[in-house]
Amino acid sequence: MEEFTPVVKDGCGVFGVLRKEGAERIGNSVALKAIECVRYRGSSLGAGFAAFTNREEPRPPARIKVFVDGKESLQEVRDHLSEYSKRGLRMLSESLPDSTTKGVFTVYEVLVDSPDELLFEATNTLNVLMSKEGIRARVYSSGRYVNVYKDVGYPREVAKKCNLVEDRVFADAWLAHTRQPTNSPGRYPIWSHPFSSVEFAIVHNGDISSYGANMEFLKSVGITKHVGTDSEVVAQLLDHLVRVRRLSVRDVAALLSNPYERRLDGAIHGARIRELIIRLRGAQLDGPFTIVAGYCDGQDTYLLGLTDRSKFRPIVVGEDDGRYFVASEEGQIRTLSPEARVWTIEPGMFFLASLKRGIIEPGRRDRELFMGYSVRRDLDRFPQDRPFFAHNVIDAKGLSYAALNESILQVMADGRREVKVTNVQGQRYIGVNLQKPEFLGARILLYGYPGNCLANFNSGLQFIVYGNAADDVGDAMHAGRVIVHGDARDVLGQALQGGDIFVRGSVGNRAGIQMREYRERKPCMIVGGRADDYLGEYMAGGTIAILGLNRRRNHEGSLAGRFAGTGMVGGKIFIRSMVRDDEVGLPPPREDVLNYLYSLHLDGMLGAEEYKSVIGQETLDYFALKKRLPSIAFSKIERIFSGKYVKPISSDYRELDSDEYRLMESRLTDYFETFGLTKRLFEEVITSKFTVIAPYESTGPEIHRAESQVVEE
Amino acid sequence: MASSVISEFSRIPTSRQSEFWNVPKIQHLRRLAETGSAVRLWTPLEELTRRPLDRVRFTGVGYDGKGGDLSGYAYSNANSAVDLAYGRISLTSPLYLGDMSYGALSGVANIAIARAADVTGVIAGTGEGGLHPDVAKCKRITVQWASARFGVDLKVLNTGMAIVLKIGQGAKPGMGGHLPGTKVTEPISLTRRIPVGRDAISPAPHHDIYSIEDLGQRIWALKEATGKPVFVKIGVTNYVSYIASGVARMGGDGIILDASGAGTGAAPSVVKDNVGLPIEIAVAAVDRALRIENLREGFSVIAAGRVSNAEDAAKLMALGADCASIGTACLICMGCLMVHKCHMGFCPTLLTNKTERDPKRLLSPEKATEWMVNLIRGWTEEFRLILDRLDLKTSKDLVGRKDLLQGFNLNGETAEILGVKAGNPRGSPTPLLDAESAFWTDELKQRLQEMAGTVGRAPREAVISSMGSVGPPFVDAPTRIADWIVSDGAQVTRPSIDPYREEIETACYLARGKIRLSTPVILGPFREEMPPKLIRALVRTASSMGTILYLEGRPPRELEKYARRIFVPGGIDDPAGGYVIAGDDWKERVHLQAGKRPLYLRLECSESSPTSAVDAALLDLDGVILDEDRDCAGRLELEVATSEVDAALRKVLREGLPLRTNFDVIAMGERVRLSSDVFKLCALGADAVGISTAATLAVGYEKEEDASSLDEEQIKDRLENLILATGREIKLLAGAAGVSSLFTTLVGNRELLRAVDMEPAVRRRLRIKPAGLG
Repeated sequence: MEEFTPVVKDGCGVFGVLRKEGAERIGNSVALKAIECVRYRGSSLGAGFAAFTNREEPRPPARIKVFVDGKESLQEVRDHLSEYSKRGLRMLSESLPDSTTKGVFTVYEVLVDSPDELLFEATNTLNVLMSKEGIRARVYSSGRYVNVYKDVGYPREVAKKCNLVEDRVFADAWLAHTRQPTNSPGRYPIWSHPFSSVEFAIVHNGDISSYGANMEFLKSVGITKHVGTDSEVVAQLLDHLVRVRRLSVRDVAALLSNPYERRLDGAIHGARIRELIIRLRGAQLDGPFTIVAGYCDGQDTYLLGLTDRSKFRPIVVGEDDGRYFVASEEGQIRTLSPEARVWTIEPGMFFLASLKRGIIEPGRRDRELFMGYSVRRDLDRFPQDRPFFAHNVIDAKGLSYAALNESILQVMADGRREVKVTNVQGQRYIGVNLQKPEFLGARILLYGYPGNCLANFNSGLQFIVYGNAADDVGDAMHAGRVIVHGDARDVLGQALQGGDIFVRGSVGNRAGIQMREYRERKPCMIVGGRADDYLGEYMAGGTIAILGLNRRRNHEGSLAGRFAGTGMVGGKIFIRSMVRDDEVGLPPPREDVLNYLYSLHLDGMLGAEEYKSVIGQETLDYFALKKRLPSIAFSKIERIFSGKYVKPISSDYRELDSDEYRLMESRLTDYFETFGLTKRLFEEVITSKFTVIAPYESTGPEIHRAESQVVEE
Repeated sequence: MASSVISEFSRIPTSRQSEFWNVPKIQHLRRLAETGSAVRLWTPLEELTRRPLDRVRFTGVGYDGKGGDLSGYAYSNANSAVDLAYGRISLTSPLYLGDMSYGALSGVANIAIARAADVTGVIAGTGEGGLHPDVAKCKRITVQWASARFGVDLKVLNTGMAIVLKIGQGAKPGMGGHLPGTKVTEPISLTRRIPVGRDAISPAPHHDIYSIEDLGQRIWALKEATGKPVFVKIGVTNYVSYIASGVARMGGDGIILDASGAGTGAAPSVVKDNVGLPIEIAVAAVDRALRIENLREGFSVIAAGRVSNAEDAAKLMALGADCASIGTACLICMGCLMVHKCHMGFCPTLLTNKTERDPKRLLSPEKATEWMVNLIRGWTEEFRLILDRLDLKTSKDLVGRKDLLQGFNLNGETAEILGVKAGNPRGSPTPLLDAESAFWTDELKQRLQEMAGTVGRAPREAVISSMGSVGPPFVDAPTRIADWIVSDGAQVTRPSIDPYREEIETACYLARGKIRLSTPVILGPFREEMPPKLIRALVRTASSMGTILYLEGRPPRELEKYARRIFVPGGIDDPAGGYVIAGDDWKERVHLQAGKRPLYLRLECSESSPTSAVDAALLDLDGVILDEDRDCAGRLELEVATSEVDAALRKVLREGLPLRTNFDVIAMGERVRLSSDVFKLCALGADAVGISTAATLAVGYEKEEDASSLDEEQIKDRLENLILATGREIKLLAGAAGVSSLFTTLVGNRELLRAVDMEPAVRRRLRIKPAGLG
């Protein structure tokens, strides 16, 4: 029976850092510290680091690092490289593993001087040779500027094995990774990250569904030997496209991120990227991923943070006076730089910075609407004017989430109904153990940055965060309140069924999805900044308001991402900016609409003038066409818009009507009081124009309502 | 008070459609329900299907193709008890009773199942949607945390013995649910905590779980809040063994493997029939992976999906499960007749009909509970008798005893995946294709016509079905190689995508970007002898739907304005969207086509197709059209030809890029049936797939005289509906697999496919992996 390469797909924690020009080189302890603080994202099954150092010399030697699984393999590897010495690959010095046991991978390292092509050929043929009948040896680092360190274990153990605990290596950029394998054979270092190809190294979190297509692409351009992970594939794609196809790092990032066809008109993803996508099919990535990549070409050093088109994996970006950061969680950045500016990447976008050029792509518009972007010293700190030591104050520093939750429970059990927690450092699940009737109305004040799943199942407590909150805040919350003085990340208030969530800054993807109301419970979410894609998806009740309080006067962009209100069946969303009609819900691709319109014209159902005027519209959404097309033509084209299971979403940019005004007045008053905002701003906000998004209530016969006899369950 | 109460079984209607839950199976379950004691030991021959589990037997028990001799076995001393969740839950018998929600079932059945678990000491799952008040009073239940969080708060989560974190279900891995507002009646509104009359939608994935470490986060959040054991329920898909390891490593107490063929209140047929692996393969693969990882001890593996009797359960335990889960069998013992209409809301046996406050007719709760209790007792007794026959004292002794099993008519690869001896001395595995069976069956035509709106009430939508297990290759006969292939369903390691509310791009580009298709479906080949109104409708549909019509002949003059959407033979000089040349001497004639672009070569499917395709690419043509319908020497199946042509074009480089990059592969044939064929052919390497007979059957044109009753506009409407519905079904498959772009991700992505019990030689030619390995 033939052998099947296992497919290795990992979940993980990732980190990358790049120094700014003029700043000191970065020591290895920085990378270790930043990855060790999310060790719960990983496992004992693998970790690693990569250092990028630009050496200012014409052709610095390359460092080839090979995992070898015993004496014989080691000999084969050395023989193979010796063969290449005849052709100009000079072995300068080598370091042999301390011991070689058959079946256990150890590291053989050799410094060589060689022309680029020969170096690539030597390592590639070595991998081919050593992959016959299972992998017996594997080159995992072979660059002149990049040096990968990886092994099996948690980050600290791996750092120890690689002698990277005390500062010893200083580099322009670092990557770090802790691995959570989905697959079984997780016990070999060849599957640890980073993965490197020539001068690129990457760390990755996710599961790439395009893996099979990417493999076909790589095989067809001659890269045939793989250890079987989707992460390695990414490193090889980056290297191939930049080194062989001579594309810029920026274009490759845009190509790999695989932008939606509807994004291909923007400044970042122009017609050139469309042409690349068609020409280089199979090189794009699909499925969830966060990728942090580093690259040095001898001229400049780059740090790249890439997220998928739906931003299914967490990624945050940071910047301080001397460094840029990309990380899975904010805590990793705050550990290193408490006052760094922090923001997130928009779905399908990427962050790219280089040592010499600074930020090339910030990864999003409207960075200034994020509270974490403007340093707010007043928020992250425990108020100094009160005594630090008190019976209701807990110092969370170094506490596990279970210990922290237990401490809060004990304070409450003493009868106190206000608990202050200082130095919150990414602990998850805060408050999920407190949902007891006797605690209703209690206040938990959190200073710092709480981790994921804050206030889940909340049934009547108040949580106040002085700082930024993470993902999954307020999931399945039934009552009470969550107040965030900074930003919140993705999936805020999923299935929020009662109570309020107030966020002073901005929020990530899928805020308020599945919000719903039941009887007297009408939940409310108010966001002071902006929101990313899929705001209020599946919403079935309650109110969401997005206010853009800190935007500039002349700000014209939308305060929400794409697909707002898609699948909405109840409730209302108010966005204090214009939102294009074709960015609400899920309209069919513009190209399909144009095509149908042209066909209507050919069929004689749409005169030449009418056709011209219709396609001249900026948005070709359902309601615009309904208004402009002759009814017979509309009855035809309607079929590509509506379906039996999806109702149209209505969207209007206008001032609030009297009912809405009353609703918003009471909610906003609360919000403005909570954050101490001025009366003047209140007046300005409530009289502004909003894009009001709600399910379309059908009056005419042309809308296909869900028919009664069909259940999908 | 209900005016009529049902307390006896209805007569089983006769049906021509093949069904796994056939009449003898129903009769056996009914006898268990009536008697509460053992009826037989073994599954008789007439109940067996082609599924691998039916081709595996216990050795040395004297199986004779009948039920087995029960005389002298009136009572067994074997101990059927099992422990789950690292010993925190003890069951008197290895039975978990489905996860059927209140809403999917109409109340009485939910109560009967939960009460029967309490009476007999097994355990019952309650599904998503909160707890019926009478179910909440029962002790031996699990509660479900699912993607929509309907009806759950901490109080509900703290009810019952464990929490089931539901990622997916076997009948529709990677899909959510949609309960229309009209079904959200007052009782449903109360338990789900949503307003009466408002649609209730469950997202396809949990939007807080996009990876294994996210799953760990949710498991620990639930444990931190309740302290209960947490089981994770998944639909069984390609990476099942990796996912099971991940669940164990992340602190889950067990995994419920819900496999293909499992029941559902409503699921798109295209997903039900083409996503998911059989339970026997999943159990064997999961057990093996967990043991290698040293994660098996104490962790529970619960097997669901077509578990029809105690022998099935015993075999699954021997393959590595701790416990079997039954759902459909429960419904049958309460009267289900397999009429496949749960999704319509008027179940004749009142099991799945619309939930009302004061129903006129009601299933007797007492009788239903009695049936359920009897089923469990009779089933358990049969199970213990099987233990006796195997000389085993306890259920635990059976778990993982693959050595007790032997295959017959199993191919060697499947036997190895299951970990049993092939036991197939004469080598007669199941035939690859069943030439005897009708190709265009009535069911198939019905589905196409529903999509087109020719019949039914949901044009343009994916076809929905419910309980039961039909379909090739294990129940219906396989008629295409594609029938042995399943597509992936994203479970845990990546999110699936909801195609109704989220973006899945189906557009693809042909001819180096010159032609954009809205979906990878083209119309063709069609001959010019077709009735003119049909040709006109086809052309106009190709135009409005943004696709291509391949017409083997000259299009009528008046259709010239649509020319850019028509492909014509190379001999025609009229303007067209593309030209197609063919014939053995095409190389000599290709220079005559100067200026005619895009230019395609039509090839019959044969051993020489790959070579010809490479030649065409080297001569700068735009692509090949693989046409299955031409007879030729060394004729190949379309699936095989497509995969081999794609692979050959990837091997030859020009200017550093493979020929395939700028050269199209279009597959077509009169026997391309449905969306799933299109999807699988794309994953095997086709850019687009042509349908012809399927299109004419869908619009109601089967024979020439049908043309007179159809008008052009009607045909066009139906064709448009068909293409939109096909697009929707393709999106469902893509979304289930977590694929958001067909063009960049699907084409040639064989990793998404697995061969289930396929003849190994064919599988290797297709370049896809067998299910359960790799």
